[in-house]
Amino acid sequence: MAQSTTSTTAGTPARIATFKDKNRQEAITGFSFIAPAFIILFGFLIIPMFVAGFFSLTNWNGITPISRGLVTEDNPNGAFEFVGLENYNTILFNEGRRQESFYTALKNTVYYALGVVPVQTVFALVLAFIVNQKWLKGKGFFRTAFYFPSITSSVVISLIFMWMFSASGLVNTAISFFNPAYDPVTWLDNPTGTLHMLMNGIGINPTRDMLRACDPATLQLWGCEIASIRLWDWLSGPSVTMATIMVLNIWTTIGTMMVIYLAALQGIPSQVYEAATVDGASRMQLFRYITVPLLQPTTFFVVTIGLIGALQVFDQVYVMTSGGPANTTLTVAYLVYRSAFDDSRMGLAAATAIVLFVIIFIFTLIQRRVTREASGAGS
Amino acid sequence: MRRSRFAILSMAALAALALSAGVFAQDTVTITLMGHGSSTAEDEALNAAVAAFEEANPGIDVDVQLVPDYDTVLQTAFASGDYPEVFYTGQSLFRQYVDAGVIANGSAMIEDPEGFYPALASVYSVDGELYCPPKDFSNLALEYNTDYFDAAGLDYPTADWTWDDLRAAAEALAASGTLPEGTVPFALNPDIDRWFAFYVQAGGTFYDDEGNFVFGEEDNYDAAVSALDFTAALTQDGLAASSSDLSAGWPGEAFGQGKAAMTMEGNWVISYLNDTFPDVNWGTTELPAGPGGEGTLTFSEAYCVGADNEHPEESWALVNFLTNEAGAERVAVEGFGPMPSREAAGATWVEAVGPVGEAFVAGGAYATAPVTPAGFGEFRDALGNGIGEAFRGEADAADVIDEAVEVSQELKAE
Amino acid sequence: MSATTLEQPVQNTSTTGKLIRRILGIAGILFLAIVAAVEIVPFVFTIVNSAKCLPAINAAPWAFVPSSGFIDCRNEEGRPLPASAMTSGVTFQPSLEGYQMVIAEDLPRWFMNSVIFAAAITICRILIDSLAGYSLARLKFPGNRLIFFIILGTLMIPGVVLIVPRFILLKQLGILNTYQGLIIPLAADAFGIFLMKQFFESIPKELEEAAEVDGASRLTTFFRIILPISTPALTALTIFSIQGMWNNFMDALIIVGTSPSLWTLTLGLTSLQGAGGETLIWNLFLAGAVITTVPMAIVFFAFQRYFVEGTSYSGLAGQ
Repeated sequence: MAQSTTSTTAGTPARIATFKDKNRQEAITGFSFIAPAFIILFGFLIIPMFVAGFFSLTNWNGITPISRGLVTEDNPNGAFEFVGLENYNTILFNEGRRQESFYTALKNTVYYALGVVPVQTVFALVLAFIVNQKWLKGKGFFRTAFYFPSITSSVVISLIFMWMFSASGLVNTAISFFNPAYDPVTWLDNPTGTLHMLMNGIGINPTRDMLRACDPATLQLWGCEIASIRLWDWLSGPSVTMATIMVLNIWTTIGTMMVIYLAALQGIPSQVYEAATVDGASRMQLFRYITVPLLQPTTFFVVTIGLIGALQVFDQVYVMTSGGPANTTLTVAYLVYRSAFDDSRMGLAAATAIVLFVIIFIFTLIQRRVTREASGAGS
Repeated sequence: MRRSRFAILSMAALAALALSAGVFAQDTVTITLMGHGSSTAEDEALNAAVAAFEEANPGIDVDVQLVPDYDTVLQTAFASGDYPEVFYTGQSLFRQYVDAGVIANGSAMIEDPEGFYPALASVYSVDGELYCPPKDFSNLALEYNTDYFDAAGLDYPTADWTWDDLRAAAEALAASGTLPEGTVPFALNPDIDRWFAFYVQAGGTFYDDEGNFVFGEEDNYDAAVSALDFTAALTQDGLAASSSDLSAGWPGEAFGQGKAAMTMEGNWVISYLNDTFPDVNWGTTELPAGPGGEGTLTFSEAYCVGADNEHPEESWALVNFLTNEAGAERVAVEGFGPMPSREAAGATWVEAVGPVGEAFVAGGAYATAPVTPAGFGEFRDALGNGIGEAFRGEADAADVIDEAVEVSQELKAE
Repeated sequence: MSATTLEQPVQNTSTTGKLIRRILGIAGILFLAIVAAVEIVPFVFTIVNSAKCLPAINAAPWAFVPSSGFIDCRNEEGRPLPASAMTSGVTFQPSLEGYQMVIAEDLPRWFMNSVIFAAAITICRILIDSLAGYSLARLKFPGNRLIFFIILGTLMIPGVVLIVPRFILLKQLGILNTYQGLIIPLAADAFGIFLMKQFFESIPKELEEAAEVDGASRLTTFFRIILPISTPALTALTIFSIQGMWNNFMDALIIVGTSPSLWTLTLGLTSLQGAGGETLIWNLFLAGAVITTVPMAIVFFAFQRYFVEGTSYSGLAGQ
């Protein structure tokens, strides 16, 4: 990105004369190139987003035909009333069930994203780098194999995974085969938090009473509620079931991310590698000091897309767990679905969706800064 | 200026694509019947019935739309204001749709409403008026593995069983040492759509006379606690286990795989067990009675007619054709999974599916639909999670019920 | 990859060096093979189980050695055969029951619809997304960055709340239940635009500048110079677009869900999931999964050849 701004500044006097004219022409070209895409996205996504924003200010149930309009004295059968920011208050600030659900979902979603995005990115890069090697035989086979899970629809994958991870499924059978003493784990129905397990492992094992207590003076903090959720529960980590879904998701998305890296690797001129090899760089060094920095725009892309996808995880939850066990796989996108289609509170669903939108936007901006700084240090 | 011409061209192409939508002329009245796909045989039978209706009513065309992910498609159609004249409605969504004003009141139009099972008719009634005629339904019954009972030298479960008999039989099965390794006497999930059966058997009710949701409140409190104590004890004492503990997807599968000697599922298990587990020998009987008497849960669907409807006469003609006594007989003869919604057709259905069907039909006389009010998803989650905790021994029954009631009251206050 | 020994310069030609490199090469291949197996094993078991009778799937889902020719799952009376008769736990007797049930449905039509949707949308996206991506990457105009963020923003909202507004919009346009109703709204996507933008940003500017000096217009430059060297990115875009449309469920459901003649493969196969009533008919379902996946695997295998290293641009030494 940095190089694109520097190279345009060098211009001859002849060019400067037509500078303004040229700028205008470039702007016109720019607009006309982007117009078809923008019109489609504007019409079919951006307008609906504004409509959803409008819904979020109402108490519409999502069932009554919206054409029946606003509820008034003359129109008692109308579809909705304006409630201002009440929906936002309900999920964000007012203590209660809905606030608890929202923050539980947010907690689960963030744990999910933090677990999935780095792993899939690193795995994808390494795999892409390997299957891009000239010396590798059967490249086509390996590439296709790695891409396989991305091909199959996520519904099919989820159902196959449920079957593999059921208590007597392939996974437990395989583990029992190698370790006869293994006590089968119920992967898809285990609400225990992985961080809790870790903490129990190092001796942090709060009793029932400790989990109810909240007294900052005596440092009894586990039971302290922040946004309707106890501190201990905030620190649960993803549950075993959520971790299983995370594995599933990493497993399915690696292929897609690998293809993106694979495309980008083609763009690195072989001369660069040749020059470095002459200077005596090892293969590891080539990868670390040439490949990774040159792939910076791609990494930004992969991490951004991965983050946006992870923060909106829905399909697997919908098919496999419906948010259970004990709400440990409830994600924000699933909560939106549940409010809109199970609870008939479209207004609340829209507000939740808008909040998620803002959260993803903030995450993306932070991530953008972080990738930039990381690559700045690298090169 | 080649580039702008290109832009215009590309937009013109898109516009041309957009304009070529087709419109069809209509001679007769067309009404749409929307539903979800069922088994292939059921779908064929529905199409045949609709064809017979069209033949009898030459002025009416019926467009049958059986769509995947039905509830989403239907709700979207409602919201847009352009929705089908006739559509399936599940019992859990009926109230929401009535409240939203999209279902027409059928009390003046439905033929012979007394012929439906009262439990079903009450699900689809508001203030005593029947809105939608029930289509078909399923009940829970007790399934038992006859080989396991024979091996243990025990009598098969009977319709007059009580909770004590269930527990005694479970203990005897466990003590007999004849069950295979890893097999439990009873497969029971911490799922409110099963557990509510025990609540009802303990004397619990869902609604008071004014139609308020009263789960676990006042007199119902003891019923809820005793139901949870009884079921949690079964699990805690190793007499019952959930399907996931038994490495199965659902209790019916665990039962079929021989991992449980008994379970309680609906009539859908009949074809499932026959097709998937032909080796298993099994029988059915009614669920045991609890301190509050007999009780089972029913799950049903109805045909509803849309409130914004330009052809109400034709719509009701179709619905009545499908759900009157002849319609119920037509469904019963085929012996599909769900049972016909009219008591008169029950015997025909049992004849078609065989003696295992009797217990399911018998339950129709006293069944209750486990319907929670619209927007009570959080209550269902809270109670479901609580039941799971009680089964695992992580929570007291009383605490679980207290919390569920608290959630219920919070939601009612909203 | 353990590559500590690779830290030495590459021109190590001693025999021990060769041996170490060979061992590392074998270890690398082994690693790849294991990862490939993990990725592919579920699909292998999908195929294996799609060719079993229901009782055999339940009794021994991991049995993977076919032991005979294809059998019928039911005897003459229509009763299903017992599991013990058709699987030993390792071997099983294959059956085409699942496939027969799928094929008895409207499979060819669903397949054709999926092909039409995927092809039309992919062609649109290649053109529209790459023009837009190029514009954002290379052309300076007021609001460039803002437009980029708006486009990126369309990815950030859960699609569930957009279902109703989009449905109403398409109804107003009169294109519900038509081919164009499914094609036009998906003819451009933020993911593809973003992908192309990031790719174009990594292409050296010198290429276009040379063309500009020769007096070529931006459009000519784009089609003559930029697109031809964009094969890898366009290949990726093509693969993603085909795959995305092939597996698209929600858009297809809302836009053509009530017209079975326009159903895609995904919609059709989902409708079959109800065929068992309350329970899933596994062999039917898995047969459907195989039928959806195999064409995509072929498409991917055909396209991945275009990821060839050495599509290098001349005159870059000074990068």
